[in-house]
Amino acid sequence: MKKRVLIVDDSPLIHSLLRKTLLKYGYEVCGDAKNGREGVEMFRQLMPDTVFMDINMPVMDGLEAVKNIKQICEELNVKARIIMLSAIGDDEVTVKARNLGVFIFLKKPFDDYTIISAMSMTE
Amino acid sequence: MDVKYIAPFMDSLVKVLNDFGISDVKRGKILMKESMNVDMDITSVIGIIGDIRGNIAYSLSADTARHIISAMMMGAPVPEINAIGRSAIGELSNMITGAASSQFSTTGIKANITPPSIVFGKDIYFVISSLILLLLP
Amino acid sequence: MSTGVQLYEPFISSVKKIFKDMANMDVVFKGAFGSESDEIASYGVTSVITYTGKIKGSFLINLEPGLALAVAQNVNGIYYDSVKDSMVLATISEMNNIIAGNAISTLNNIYSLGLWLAPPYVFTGRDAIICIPKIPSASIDCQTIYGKLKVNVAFERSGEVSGC
Repeated sequence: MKKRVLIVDDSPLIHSLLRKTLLKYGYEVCGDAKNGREGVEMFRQLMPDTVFMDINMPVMDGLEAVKNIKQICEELNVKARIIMLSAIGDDEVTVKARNLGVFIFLKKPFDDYTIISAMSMTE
Repeated sequence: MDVKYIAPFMDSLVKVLNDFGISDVKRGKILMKESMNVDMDITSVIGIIGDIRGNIAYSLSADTARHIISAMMMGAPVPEINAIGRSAIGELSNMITGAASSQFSTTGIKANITPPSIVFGKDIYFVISSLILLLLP
Repeated sequence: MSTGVQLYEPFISSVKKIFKDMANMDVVFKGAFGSESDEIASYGVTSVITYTGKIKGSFLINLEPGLALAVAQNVNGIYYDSVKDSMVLATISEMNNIIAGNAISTLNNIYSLGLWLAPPYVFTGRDAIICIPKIPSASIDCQTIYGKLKVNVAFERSGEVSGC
């Protein structure tokens, strides 16, 4: 069965590029959210295996969204891998993200190899 | 971005214009948009980071801008908007930003405001993420 | 703190890297950063991103329309015939976000500036002038095989900074 991926990012370009790569390598993109709040709601509805999460987004940022998703996972006893994908990746932010339970932190820009390597680590 | 965060900017705009003796501020529409063709001549964009993240922009017609610039220059006539006039609008944007920043700090909303940038020109097509736009025709 | 080279350099490196990595383009910098007046004439497509933390400022990329179209085409692998196409503008906007994000991450790591970005904006239009009032800024002109590019970095000190 294909791994299901939710993309959470406020950039239409990132959605387009990520989707192309993921579909090319046999993954299913089950949802597209454009901010953290939408991302959390979609996570609850769709229960993806993996989430690609940006940090800097309106309404709710990615770090807050990760906190919320981790809570949902605990409540419902489900597992999801969160891959943070951000243009901002200074040490303080990456440590914060890891402490929140982000599985892998990737910096933008990305290429196919980076994305697929990260996905294979989630298996 | 939630329209409730607009109040400090609206209040600051009115206050700063009042300080220059302009009390007949007619608000146009408040729009929440992602992309727009702006047929006003001047658009000032301010970013907000903190408990909220987004952009506020106010767009003025050339006539409104000339009226404001004239008031800022103690009533001197302003037949056209030149470099001095654009500088005055820049100063206005800074004043509004500063006043809004102070207001936010009294409300308990953590809102760090970024420096304003102003775009002059006709028939400009913008794409601005998470935007509240104030039109001042 | 010197407000010059140390703060601008991460932006130059980031422009070179991101244009190469994302759009497969070599950017040639013509000369060095020079003081810019308050006003910059748009070449046709301009994206601005602002930031705040221990210092405030803005970063701007200013592209000729042909260059913007070529960037979008190279990044997406699709031909575009108008700079008003939403994906062309989204591409330029996101590239600006990534360039600035990479640069401020470096600045944060070196100088602990705690900088965060506001969402970028992008515009296109004829005879547009952009003004970043009252903050010292510097520009550098660049050239690619698809057209010219100008990069502008502005910083306003907030008085809390030391060491850079």
